[in-house]
Amino acid sequence: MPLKHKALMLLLVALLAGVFCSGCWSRREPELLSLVLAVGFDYDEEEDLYQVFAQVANPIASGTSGGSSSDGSGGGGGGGKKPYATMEAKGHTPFEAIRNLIQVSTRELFWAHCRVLLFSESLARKGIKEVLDLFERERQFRLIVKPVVVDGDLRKLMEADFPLEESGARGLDRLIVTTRFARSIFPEINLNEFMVNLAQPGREMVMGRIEVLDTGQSGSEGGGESVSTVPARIGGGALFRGGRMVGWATAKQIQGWTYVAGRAFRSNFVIESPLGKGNRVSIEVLGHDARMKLRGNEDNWRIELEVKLHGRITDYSGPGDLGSESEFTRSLERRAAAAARNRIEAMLSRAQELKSDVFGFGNLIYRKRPQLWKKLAPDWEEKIFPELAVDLKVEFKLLRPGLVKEYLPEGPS
Amino acid sequence: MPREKIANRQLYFMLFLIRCNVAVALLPVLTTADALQDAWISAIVQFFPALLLLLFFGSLGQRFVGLTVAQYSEKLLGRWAGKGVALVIAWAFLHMAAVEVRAYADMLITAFLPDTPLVFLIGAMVIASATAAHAGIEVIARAADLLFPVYLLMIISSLLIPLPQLQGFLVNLEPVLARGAGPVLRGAATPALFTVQYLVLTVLAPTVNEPKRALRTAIWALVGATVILIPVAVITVAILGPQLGTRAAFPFFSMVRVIAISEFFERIEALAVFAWGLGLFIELAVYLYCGGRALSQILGMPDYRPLILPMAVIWTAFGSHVTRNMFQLMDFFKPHFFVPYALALVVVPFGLLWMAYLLRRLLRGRSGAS
Repeated sequence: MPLKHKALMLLLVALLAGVFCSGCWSRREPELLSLVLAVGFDYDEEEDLYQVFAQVANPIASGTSGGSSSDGSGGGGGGGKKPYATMEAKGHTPFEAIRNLIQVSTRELFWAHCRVLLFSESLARKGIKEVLDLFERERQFRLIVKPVVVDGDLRKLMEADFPLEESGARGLDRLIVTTRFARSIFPEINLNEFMVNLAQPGREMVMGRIEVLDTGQSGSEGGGESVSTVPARIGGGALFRGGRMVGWATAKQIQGWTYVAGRAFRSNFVIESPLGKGNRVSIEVLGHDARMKLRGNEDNWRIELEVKLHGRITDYSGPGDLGSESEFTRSLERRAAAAARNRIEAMLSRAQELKSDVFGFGNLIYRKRPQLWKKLAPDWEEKIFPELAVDLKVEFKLLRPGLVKEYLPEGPS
Repeated sequence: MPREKIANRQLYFMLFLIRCNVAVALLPVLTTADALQDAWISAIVQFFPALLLLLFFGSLGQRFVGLTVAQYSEKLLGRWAGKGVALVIAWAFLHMAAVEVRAYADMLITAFLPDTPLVFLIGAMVIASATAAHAGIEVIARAADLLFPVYLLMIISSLLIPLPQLQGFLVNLEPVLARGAGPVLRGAATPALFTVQYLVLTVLAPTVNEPKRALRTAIWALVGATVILIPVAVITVAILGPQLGTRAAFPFFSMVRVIAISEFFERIEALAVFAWGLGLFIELAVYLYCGGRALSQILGMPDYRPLILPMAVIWTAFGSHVTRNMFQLMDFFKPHFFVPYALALVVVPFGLLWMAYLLRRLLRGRSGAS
């Protein structure tokens, strides 16, 4: 290439560089953004409007709260400020409501870090499909948020402080994760799983429930006894039919659901010792396995549900010989199995009452015998599922006694 | 002017990237028809018609070793008819390239850069690949050498990362073949016809080290891309469910977005988007090179390079206007449009060429016998 051409090319490059120096089209400067940590949707029936609450991290305050002993620039600029702020807005659709947040926000909202998605009970009962579609369609939202239905005042929960956490959203998130690993009384699912299951034929979904507690901060009327130090407690769930909530399930019932749905991690229950009244035994369940099978032929089919659990004793102070072949151990296992069965049956009858097939029995038929499902599908929700008798087998194996083999003896013997 | 040479391995890499890229990006087994949970069967089925099609146009080139399609079509059909047929194939390159760069730009605008002008995204991609095409096929081949392992690593890791979660999701693949073979075949139609991309083989074959094995290399590239496509279809359908998988505009991208492993390992869609961009770069450079080469031979020019710049300009404009909006882009890939269109691009020119070839052999055979 001759020198003249090279010089020309260089000039061209230099000119082009100028074009790009103005920056990108869709740039976002971090100092103009603020991160939404949790979002809550409510529905205002009188005005027929969606109401959205967004909990937004406050960068000024959260920056200083971490190292308060540092030089304290700006005279403790954010010292007294909360590390987050809650904003609210209304709109005809979820997206309009979110856009209306801009009117009250001094910074552009950034949604990709949102971890928790809350629905008020009234919105859940009306239907959440519009919100689900927004989360699927819009690029900033992610389907890995955790959806929860709030039992109580949504605004109060969005503004609440968790004593151990920096922000309410972080508190909710941690609450869900810790409960999931220890108790299995809360259906921990992300929005993608929720929607995938909802879209499948013959299967309804459960969403976790958060109960708002009275912390006595606002509007307390002297009833100081029931005031709680934490703003929320989780456990139980809301049963959905399509995109609409149809009713609550208790923590016990949800425990039954997690056994069958294969979502249990650890769970526990208390049984009576077979030797003598008042001697209670705590059992922690560590292993869960559930199989669902469709038996029989087209005309005479039945659903078989086999749940196998295993676990260990976590407290017991009564007599008894915990041998591998002993009748006492067998008896404990039978009682534990019965306790687990109770929970599953409780959930099943609750689901049948609400006509919401949360175990996915219909989906099982759809998957294994699509032809049969075609026949059953029109009547499934209304007639067949509520009357369905499931062949339920529960087995429990006691594997370990814990670190001691026997209880602490008292006095001379 | 010294002839450029590439290794068969490099041809394999290029063809693999070309096919794999569109298969992964748009996942046509899932999005173009209603195969739903049977999309992975479509991914297997599509291999066979694709192979047939590849053999159909690839094997003719094997009879004219060292010649591109533009050259042997003139030999077979005479000067003007031959040029006409070659022009159809050059058009196929231009159109496929425009559609694919448009799909990529549309995805970027939808998912990342809502305010960026379309023509900027298309132009940036075209400038990069035009530079590569201008530098010659050897350079493109070396770039493919470099990018192939990176590409493969990105795709495979975005498939491996969701694996631990997969177990609970496999029920989404049932029931298998519940609605008969119809939906599966419809799902296989568009990806099978994407073999029209492999028309580049008819231009590239003479530049390969062992031109006689060029067709075999292409077949192995087809096999390799299918082997990637099957797990992509399985995992995407399992994680997103058949319904969402079908509704998603870019299912593989959506699938990667919902991967979250233990609280901190998430948002890895950059892997998928980078891989798509890298693959697209090779793809576009090869199209542009082949288009330029074919056109220069049609026009009787000694070198294709002067054609690259005007082609790139035309192509940028064409890419911006090839579809009016994304709805039209998606309709373009629907079997009822794409299948007849792509089939026409392959069957009409190569049907003519085969007929001419067979007639000639027949005539020569007869004259030899008498």
